[in-house]
Amino acid sequence: MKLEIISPVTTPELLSALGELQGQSFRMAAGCTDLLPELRKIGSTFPVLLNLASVTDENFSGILCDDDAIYIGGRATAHQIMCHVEIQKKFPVLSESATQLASTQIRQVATVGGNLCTASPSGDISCALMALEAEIELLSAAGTKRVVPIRSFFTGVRRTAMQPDELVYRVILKRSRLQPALSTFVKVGTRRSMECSVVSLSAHIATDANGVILSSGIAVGASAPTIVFCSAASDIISGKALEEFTPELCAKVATAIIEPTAPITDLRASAWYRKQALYNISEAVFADL
Amino acid sequence: VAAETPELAREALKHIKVTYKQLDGVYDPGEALKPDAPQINALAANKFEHVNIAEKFHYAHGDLFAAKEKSVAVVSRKFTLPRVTHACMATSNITACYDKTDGKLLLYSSTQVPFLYQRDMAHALKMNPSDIRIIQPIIGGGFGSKLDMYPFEPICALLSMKTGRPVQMLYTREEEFLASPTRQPMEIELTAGVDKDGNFTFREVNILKDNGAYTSWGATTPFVIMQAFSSLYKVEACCFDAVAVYTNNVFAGSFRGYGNPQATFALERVIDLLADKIGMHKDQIRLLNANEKGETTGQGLFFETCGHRQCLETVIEKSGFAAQQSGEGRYRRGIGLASMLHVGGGAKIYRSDGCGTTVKIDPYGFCTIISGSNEIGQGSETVLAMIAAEELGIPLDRIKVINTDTDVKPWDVGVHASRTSFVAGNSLLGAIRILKEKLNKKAAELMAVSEDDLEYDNYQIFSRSSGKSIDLAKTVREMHFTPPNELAVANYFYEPSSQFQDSGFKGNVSGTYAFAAQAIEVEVDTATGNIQVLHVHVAQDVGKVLNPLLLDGQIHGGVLQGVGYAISEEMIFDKGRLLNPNFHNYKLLTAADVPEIHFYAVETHDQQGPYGAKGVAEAPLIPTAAAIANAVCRALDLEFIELPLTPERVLKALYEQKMKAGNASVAQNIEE
Repeated sequence: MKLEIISPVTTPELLSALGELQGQSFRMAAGCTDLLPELRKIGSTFPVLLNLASVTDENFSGILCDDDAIYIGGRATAHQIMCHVEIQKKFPVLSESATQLASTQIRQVATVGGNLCTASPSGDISCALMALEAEIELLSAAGTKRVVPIRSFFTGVRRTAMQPDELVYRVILKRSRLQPALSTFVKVGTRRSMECSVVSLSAHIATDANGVILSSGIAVGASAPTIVFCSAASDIISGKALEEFTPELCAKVATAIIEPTAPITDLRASAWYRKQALYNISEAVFADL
Repeated sequence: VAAETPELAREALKHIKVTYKQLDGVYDPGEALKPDAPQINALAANKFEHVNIAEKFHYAHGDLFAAKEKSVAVVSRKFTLPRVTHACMATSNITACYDKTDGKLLLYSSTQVPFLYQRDMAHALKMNPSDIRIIQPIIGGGFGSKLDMYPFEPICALLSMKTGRPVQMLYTREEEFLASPTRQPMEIELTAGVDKDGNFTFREVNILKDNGAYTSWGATTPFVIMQAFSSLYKVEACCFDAVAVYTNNVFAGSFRGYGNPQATFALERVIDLLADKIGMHKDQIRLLNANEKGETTGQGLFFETCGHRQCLETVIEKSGFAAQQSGEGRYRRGIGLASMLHVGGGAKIYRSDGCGTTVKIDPYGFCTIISGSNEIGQGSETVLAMIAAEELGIPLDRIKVINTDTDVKPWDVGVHASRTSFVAGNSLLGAIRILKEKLNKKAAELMAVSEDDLEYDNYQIFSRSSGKSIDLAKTVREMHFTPPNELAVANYFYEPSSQFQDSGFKGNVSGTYAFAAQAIEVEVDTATGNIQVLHVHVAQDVGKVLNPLLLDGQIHGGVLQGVGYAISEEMIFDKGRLLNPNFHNYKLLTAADVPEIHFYAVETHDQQGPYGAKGVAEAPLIPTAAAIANAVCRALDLEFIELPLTPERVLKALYEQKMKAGNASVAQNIEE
C-alpha cells in the first residue's frame, strides 16, 4: 500500500495543504481509529492522507473555556474530554460518552472531529453532543469559518453537511445558568470495553429552582441512519415538574423516544432488540428522575 | 505462491485463475444425516451406516431399566452449544527451511505435540520423520488448537523444498478466524432421573456433533464428554451415544476442556431442574451425590483421592449460596453452582502417555533439564525448574530447561489433557532420583560418611549424622575427573499408571482425576438483558499447589474463557461463511469484563502426582458456563437451553415471560 502522508504543524500550513489537495483524492485523519480498520479491510482508495495529528494550534487541539461557552478543538481526544473537570461538572452526558468510548488505548487518540466526521449512527460522543445541541465550527481552506448546529450536521450514514475544503475546527457548547437535573449517557453493548454501541441514549435536562424542566435534549444512537434528536420526547417533558414523572409519563416519554427510530437488524443485534432495549433504558432513566 | 515480499505474492496470485464448480453445501448436521444427503468428505473412511458420520461412540453401564423404575422425577432437555474459537493472541504460523544439500527439513512450528506432528508431517511429505527437525519456539497461545497438523503446514514445507529457501506462513487475524479449528458445536439431549431420596439414578445421553468437513482430534471429544455423564456425581446407570457428523462448516478441533464444558453445562443445568422437581436444595442434591475418595465409577475411573465434596462445600459456603435472594426491580442477582470432573494425570489415548527426561549437572553446579515435554505458555518450564531447585538445593537461576528441539529432547506425547506438570514433573523427579544416587555415592566417598542421610541445600550436600558437607559442584567435578570418571547425567522415562480403555470405553484412563466446583454470582440488567458476572468462587482439587502464581494465572484465564463461552462468544455463520471474523464482532471479553475471582485451592495430596499435585489447566473453564447459566436462571426464574446467554437472548426470554404472565404492557407496543 502506497500512501503519501502530509503532516502540517501550523493552522496556516494545514489550510494551505487542504487548499492544494482540492480536486484530488485524499483523506483527513488524526487518531486514525476508523481509518486503520478500513485500510486493512479494503486497502487505500486514496493516495494522500492529510495528517492532523501534528497541528499545534490550541484552539484545534485543546479544550478552552470562557464565560459563554466551552470550546472543544476538533482534534481534542476522547481522553481529553473524559478528564476535563469543567465538562464533568457542566455536561456529564458528554464526559460519560467519552468515558465509555472504545478502550483506554483508543481514547488516547480518537478525536471529537473524527467521531463527528465519520458520521456513524453509533458514534458515542456525537450522540452526547446531539443531546447538548452543540454548535460545530467549520474552517475552510480559505480560512473562513461557519457554524452549523449539530441537528443539521448529519445528513445520512457517513454523510455530513461539510464541504470538501472544510474541517471541524471546534465544537462549541454554550453555557447555561441552569444546573442539569439529569445528564447521562447510556450505552448498550455486550462487552464493557472495546464495544461499539448496539444502541445508545443521551439525555441532558435542566430545571429551574422549583424543579420545572426548562430545557431538555434527548438523542439516540445506532437506531436510525443518523443519530436522532428526539424532539417529540423533549416537547413532552418540557415544562413538567420532576415530581410529575409517574410510571405512565415515563412510559409515554419512552414511547416518544423510540417513535422516530428505525433500527436495523445486523450481526450485533436485531431491530427488535434495539427498540426494546432503547424503550427499557429510556423508561428507566426517567423513572430515576 | 512463495515470493520475497507479501506484495509480490499477492501480485502473483492475481495471475492464477481458478474455476470453481458451485455446489449446494450442507451446514446442519441433522440435514447431513438425511438419507439423500450428499457425501461431504470424499476421503472419509465410510465405516458407519451413513456416509456423513465421521465418528460414533456408544457407552453404557448399569441397569438402565431398573434405574428408571426407581426414579421419582425425570428431566429431559435438549441443549444447544455454539461454535467458539481459541482466539490465540499469536496467529497460526510456520517457518520451513529445507536444506537441499543434505535433504533435511527444519521447521519452526507452533505445535503443542512436536513428536506426533513430526510423524504427521513426515507422512504428508513422504519423508523419514527423523529427517524433520521441529523447533517449537515461544507460542502465543495454544488452548488445544495446535494438536493437529494443518494443511498450510506441509504446503509451507513443500514451498521451501521446491525453492531451497526459508519460507514463512503467518495467518492474518481474519484467516485465523476463518481457517483455524474451533470448539465443537453440538446438540446434547439429556434425560436424567432421581430417586425419592435425591440419589441420581440414570442418565441417557444423545449427542449430535458438527464435525465440519474434516476430522481432527476434535472428533474424539466424546471420549471426555462421556466421563462427565458416566462419572461426575455417583450415578447408577448411564447410556451414552454420540455421533460426529460431516458438514460443510469449518472443522472442529480440540479446545481446552475437550467437550467437557459442553457436557457439564447440560448435566449441571439438569441437576438444578431435578432438584427443583423434587423440592430439594440445589446444593444439597449435589453434596448427597458427590464423588468420593476410593470410588471406582461405572466407567472404571478410580479416584485414589477426591476433593469433589470439599470443593462443593467450599464454594457453597464462601458464596453464601443458600441465603441468596433474587429480588425485584431492574437489576436481579443470582448465584449458580456447578462442578466438574476431568483427567488430572494425563489421558491414555496414545500408545504412550509418558515423558522422557535427561538431567545433567555441570562442573560449575548448574543443572540442565532436557525434557520431552514442551512449554506453550502454561509455565511448565518454571515448575520443572522449581522441582529441580527443591531436589538439588540450588536456586532457579542455576537451572536451564531445554525443551524445544525434537533433535535433542526425548519422547513426550505433547501438551494436552492438563498433563505436563504431572507427567513431566514425575519424569524429572525420576531422573533426579537416579542422578542423586550417583552423586550420593561420590559425596559419601569424598566425605567418608554414610550415603543414607544426605541432604541437598544451599549448593551443598550435607551429611546429617556427621555434620559434614561438600559443595555440589565439587562433587560433580570429582565424579568427572577422578576414576571411575562418571558423568553427572541421568535419564528417566515415566509412564503413568493409567490404562487403555476397553472397546466399551471402560478403564482407568488417567493417573489421577481433578475435581472442581464454582459458585458464580451474576447481576442481570432486565432492561437490556446484560449479564454482569460479579463473583466467581472457584474451589479446585489441585492435589498440591506447586506454584501459586502460575496456578492463579490458570484459574483466571480459564474462568474468563468460560465467562466468554457463557455470555458473549459465538461464531456467526451464513451457509458456512463466517460473518464475524474479527474481534469487533466476535465478543472476546476484555480486562474490563473480568469479575472478582476468589480461588480456594483444595489439596488432596495424590500419591501419583509430583509432590501430590494433579493437572489443573483445563478445569477452571469447565464448570463456568454451567454455573453462570444456573445463576441467571435462578435470578430470573427462567430456563435457558442455549449458549451464549447474549443480551438479546436474555431480553427475549424476559419479554416472553412477561407476555405469558399477561404483563407485557411495557413491551407490547414493540412489534417483533
